[in-house]
Amino acid sequence: MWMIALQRFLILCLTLVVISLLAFLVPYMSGGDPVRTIVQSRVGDMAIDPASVETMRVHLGLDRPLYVQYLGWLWSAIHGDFGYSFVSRSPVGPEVARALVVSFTLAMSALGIALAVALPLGTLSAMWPGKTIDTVATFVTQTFVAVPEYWFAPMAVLVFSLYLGILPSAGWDGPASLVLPALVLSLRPLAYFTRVSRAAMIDVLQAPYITAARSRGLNMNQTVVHHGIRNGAMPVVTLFALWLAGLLGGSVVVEVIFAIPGMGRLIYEAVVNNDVPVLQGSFVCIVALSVLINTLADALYILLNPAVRIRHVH
Amino acid sequence: MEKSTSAAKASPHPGEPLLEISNLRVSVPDAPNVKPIIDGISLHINAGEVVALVGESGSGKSMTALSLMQLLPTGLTTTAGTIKFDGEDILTMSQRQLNHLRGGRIAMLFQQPQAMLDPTSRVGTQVAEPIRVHRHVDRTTARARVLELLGEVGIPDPGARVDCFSYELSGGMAQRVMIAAALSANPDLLIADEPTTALDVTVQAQILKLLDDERRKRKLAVLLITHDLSIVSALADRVAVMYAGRIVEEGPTQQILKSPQHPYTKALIQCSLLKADSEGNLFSIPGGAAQARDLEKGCRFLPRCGTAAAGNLHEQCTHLEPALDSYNDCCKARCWAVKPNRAHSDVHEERRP
Ligand SMILES: Nc1ncnc2c1ncn2[C@@H]1O[C@H](COP(=O)(O)OP(=O)(O)OP(=O)(O)O)[C@@H](O)[C@H]1O
Ligand code: SF4
Ligand SMILES: [Mg+2]
Repeated sequence: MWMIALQRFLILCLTLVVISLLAFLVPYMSGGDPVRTIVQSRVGDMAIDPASVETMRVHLGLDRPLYVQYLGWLWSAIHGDFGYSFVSRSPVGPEVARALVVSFTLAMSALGIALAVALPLGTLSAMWPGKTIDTVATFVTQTFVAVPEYWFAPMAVLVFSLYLGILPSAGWDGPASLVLPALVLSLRPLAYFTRVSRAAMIDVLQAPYITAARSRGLNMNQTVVHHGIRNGAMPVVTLFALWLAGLLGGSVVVEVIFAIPGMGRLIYEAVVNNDVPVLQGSFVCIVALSVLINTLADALYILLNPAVRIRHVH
Repeated sequence: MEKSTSAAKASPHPGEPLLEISNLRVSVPDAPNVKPIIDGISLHINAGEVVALVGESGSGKSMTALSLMQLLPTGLTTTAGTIKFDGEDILTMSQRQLNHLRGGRIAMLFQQPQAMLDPTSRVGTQVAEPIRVHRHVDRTTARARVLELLGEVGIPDPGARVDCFSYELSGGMAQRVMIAAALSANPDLLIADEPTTALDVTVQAQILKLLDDERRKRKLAVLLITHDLSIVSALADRVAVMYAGRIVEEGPTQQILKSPQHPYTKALIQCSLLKADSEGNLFSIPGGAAQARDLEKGCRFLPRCGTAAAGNLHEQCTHLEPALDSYNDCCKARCWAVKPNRAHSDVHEERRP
């Protein structure tokens, strides 16, 4: 067990080093000269003086060898210092942290909704494959996968904000402003969770221990509740973690449409403005967090499924 | 071991068997050209009696057991016959009545005890289920009862084992747990589907001893499914031999094992003795039972039967299927070579052309 934990930890560290290297190289990969970009961003549309570019380069320490720059950058990054945003001139660390909290809240709400609907829906359609509930579930999941968020988002605003007037259409203040974006964001994971839990539950319901439970006199519902759902939820746990990691920086469309100050919007604006420090900081934080989340998910999986534990011990 | 059919539990229908299967058929409705898996079997078990069901792999023993529980796998259904348990037909019961029956009055053991336990649920929880659903006892009472039961089935240190998961148990321990669960609500009938096949020989003997002790103590009727004739001879009062979805011979264990009449039963006993012939070859039944159900007419055992040729019965065996007829005051066989004793025949089954 401890060997596994140690192994996991080493993999985690290695991943972080690789990520930090990639993040550091972001400005060099985009091809342009970041220093020119900075100077250009300060002088607006005017022509730039090559001398001021060089002064800036020395000032920023960008004239040093690449590996020195990297180590310096890494050292600061480890201390949460990702430099200053080219655009807002404020430190990147706190800016990313604030956005991460927002995105995390949004993602957890969306995935919470998805899970709350998908597990029962997937389970019920597995219990009655081909019946009404299953047909409805299939239709719903197909729709949610096929129709993009930029259609659902305006529709939701139209109905709930403009027509019914019960929910704010944009912004980030209070739980009410969380409802619409979380709902819209939940639809796609909801569809995938439903599919996966249905498939898993169909397998579980064929398992010998289900027959054995029925032979002890448990009715179908009791059997599913006591011996089905926990086993059927296993693959959904893994999927949940993957989606959580993905949504942290991946809910761009929803964050932009609903004007939510999360990671998606932060990255979107940083890309538009070529704001390198923000891009680097966001990238490192998101990937590091994703890796952490997946590690935690594996731990949770082992906790939920004691039979896996023994395989890890041996 | 000594056998007893006496001292049965008081039944509300005295004189009637506890379980009476008549002309049971199990088919695959979605595949009309697949012959029924179980084709018209009849069998009864008296209260407190141990009846063994033997036959080679695929003959339909497990499906017979599962149809008694109405837990057949999806795709299979009982399409004819009746299964009277304590006077009531299981096949016409509501789901509610069936849930009451399962685990409450009829309990079941299976071949792979570890696979029969939910890997995510504690052992004690699963053992408690029959008393929780049938006796409606609270959690604390149930736990106390479970600890008691685990002790009774020979699990050392029940206090520690009660919170185990199935993977922490050996096969033998897992089967003991299954036995505890099966006995917990005090059923009248125990179906044991090859309860020791997956266990090694010493554990096998312990489990069989436990089963025999418990069924005597509780006056349980047992349907014991096995293909081990030494188990049959040690435990069963009566034995029914199954071949390709049919019962081909049935009667008191000692008589059937001592003087089997049906060629298949004879062959089965030959196999179990592991005797070699003069050239040192072990005896085995030639051919397989795979296509036996698909024979259009005649005896299903014909392709593997030596008696038919020897007895000049080939014509008859090819065209007509024999019925399960009494050949003396207690035994029945389904074979043209066995002379029926009409005085004892109580089977009103048609002979199929
Ligand atoms: N779901 C199913 N659909 C169709 N046929 C099935 C299904 N399940 C089992 N069968 C068939 O039913 C027949 C009887 O199977 P059963 O499991 O009762 O045999 P068995 O006598 O218990 O054999 P074993 O000794 O191997 O346990 C087999 O020939 C098998 O192919
Ligand atoms: S009826 Fe004929 S083929 Fe069938 S077992 Fe008897 S002798 Fe053999
Ligand atoms: Mg079987």
